[in-house]
Amino acid sequence: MTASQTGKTRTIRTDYLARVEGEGAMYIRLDGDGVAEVRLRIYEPPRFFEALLRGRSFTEVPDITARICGICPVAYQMSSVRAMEQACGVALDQGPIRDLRRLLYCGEWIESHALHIYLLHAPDFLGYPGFVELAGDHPELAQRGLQLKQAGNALMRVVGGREIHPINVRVGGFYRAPTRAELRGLLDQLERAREHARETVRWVAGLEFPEVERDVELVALRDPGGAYPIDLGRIISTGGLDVPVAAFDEEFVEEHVEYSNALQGRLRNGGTYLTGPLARFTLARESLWPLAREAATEAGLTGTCRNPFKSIIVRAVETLQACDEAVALIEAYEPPDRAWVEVAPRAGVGHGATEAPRGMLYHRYEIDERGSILAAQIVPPTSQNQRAVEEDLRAVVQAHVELGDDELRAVCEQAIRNHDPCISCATHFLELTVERD
Amino acid sequence: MIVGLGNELRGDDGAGLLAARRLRERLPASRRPCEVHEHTGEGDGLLELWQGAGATLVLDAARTGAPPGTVLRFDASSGPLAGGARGAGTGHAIALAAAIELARVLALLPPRTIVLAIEGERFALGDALSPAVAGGLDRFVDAAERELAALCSRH
Repeated sequence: MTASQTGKTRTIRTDYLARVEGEGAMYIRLDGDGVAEVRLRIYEPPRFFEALLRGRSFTEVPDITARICGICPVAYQMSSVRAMEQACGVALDQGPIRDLRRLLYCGEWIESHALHIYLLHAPDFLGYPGFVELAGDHPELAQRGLQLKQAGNALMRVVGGREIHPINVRVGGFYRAPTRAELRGLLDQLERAREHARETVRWVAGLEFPEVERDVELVALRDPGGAYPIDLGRIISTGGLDVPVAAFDEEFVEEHVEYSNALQGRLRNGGTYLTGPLARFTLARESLWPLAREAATEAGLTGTCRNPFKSIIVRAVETLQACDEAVALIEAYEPPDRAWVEVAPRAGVGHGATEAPRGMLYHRYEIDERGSILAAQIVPPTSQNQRAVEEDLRAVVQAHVELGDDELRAVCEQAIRNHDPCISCATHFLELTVERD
Repeated sequence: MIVGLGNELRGDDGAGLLAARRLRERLPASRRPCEVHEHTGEGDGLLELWQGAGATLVLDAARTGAPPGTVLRFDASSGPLAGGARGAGTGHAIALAAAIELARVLALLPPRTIVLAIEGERFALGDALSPAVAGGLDRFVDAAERELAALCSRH
């Protein structure tokens, strides 16, 4: 349909959106040239993880919650163990166990970001239906993406025990610390990955981006030691928020919307917020190491980045940061005397938040004196970002109302993929419907 | 190379892994030097595994609508499996059919790649093997052994 049909209802629907994780649908209804309704409907069935954790031992959380997601299991493990350690009065904010956790997390960032940049998002920018078609015309590009992802996989395998749903994480640290030789064996691959990541930033910087600026409140962690936000920190925002993780529920709420199986997050004052790469970069650009910071500057990212379509550049910059940090952590690595510290249960409440590749992931647990879980709360980034994604869609549709249905659908799907939603995490996710009045 | 794929926590989905293990036990008698791998089936990991590989036999479970327990044969060297490229990055995993197509366009597909699959019935988390697949496993392994012999004689 075209702009000449102004004044009529226009509906565009996609029943199942590709290249996002999980099952969801999008519905957009246009009334003349105005966007009347936008719904991101997550219809994948709820999985009830919070309920099934009740009654389990506090030591089981990293292994149970890792199963929520195959691409960001480390985020679940890290948020959960930090929450349990806080409940038990243990802080592992620095030292070799923290370094090893950060190294594992770098593996997840590399793996997840490479997957999203190359396999899920790049086909949108280059005009291919999928990665295989893209790979047919650009084999070197595809190989680079796969090799980057494989470097992340390798790091996950060596530190985490396996690349999907790692099994080496425990409350208090790790079951086994890798040897120096095991980690050093990854150096060549990671150094090549760092080069690939550098090339990736240059490549994505040259893509074409729709001109969209979103004025949403950006929320990320701030690392107290000045590191780029990954594994711990206070919650800060572009709106001036600066609170400990334990204050999450005072500042944010989750609410049910009738058309979705995932809860939607919002600021307690009613505002919409966004977590993830744009938020991290905008709030912590100065924490990037020189290589990543210079690459970002060369790519045209200075100060803030509020164009969701440019999240692909930020992901590339973060991949470079993760590769650079991983190399440095391995070069400095000395195996700890013990891979874990004892964590004795006590009755209490603990909170943990870390930065999953697609945004902040918050966990809260209440346990009794024997460490049995009484209550669990898990707030994944896709739930938190759902409202911001709907508002993005509204802005994108309004800016592209003259497009025909197929082109509009494509740009809408791309707008959703800007946020690398993980519907499986939010309870899983996508179908797209656009109606025009 | 033999690659058994699947997830043993999902009933019949683990049939490829079970078949690979049984085939591994039979290998010494056949005197065929052959690597046997067990794999989740995650696509980019398969591409990594296939780098430099010779003739490859992939053992998996399938859901095609055939009667449960049926052993199916696909010659991936000569064309795409059903589903083909569509499964590449539809979510956060690359399916086997898509991994094969990706390997093909990137010239990473082993020179001869045969997929043998047993039609499954139960794939839910926590399921046991269905009677049809449990009963058909020996036939599946026998077929795999014959396929291996054919691959070795050609390679």
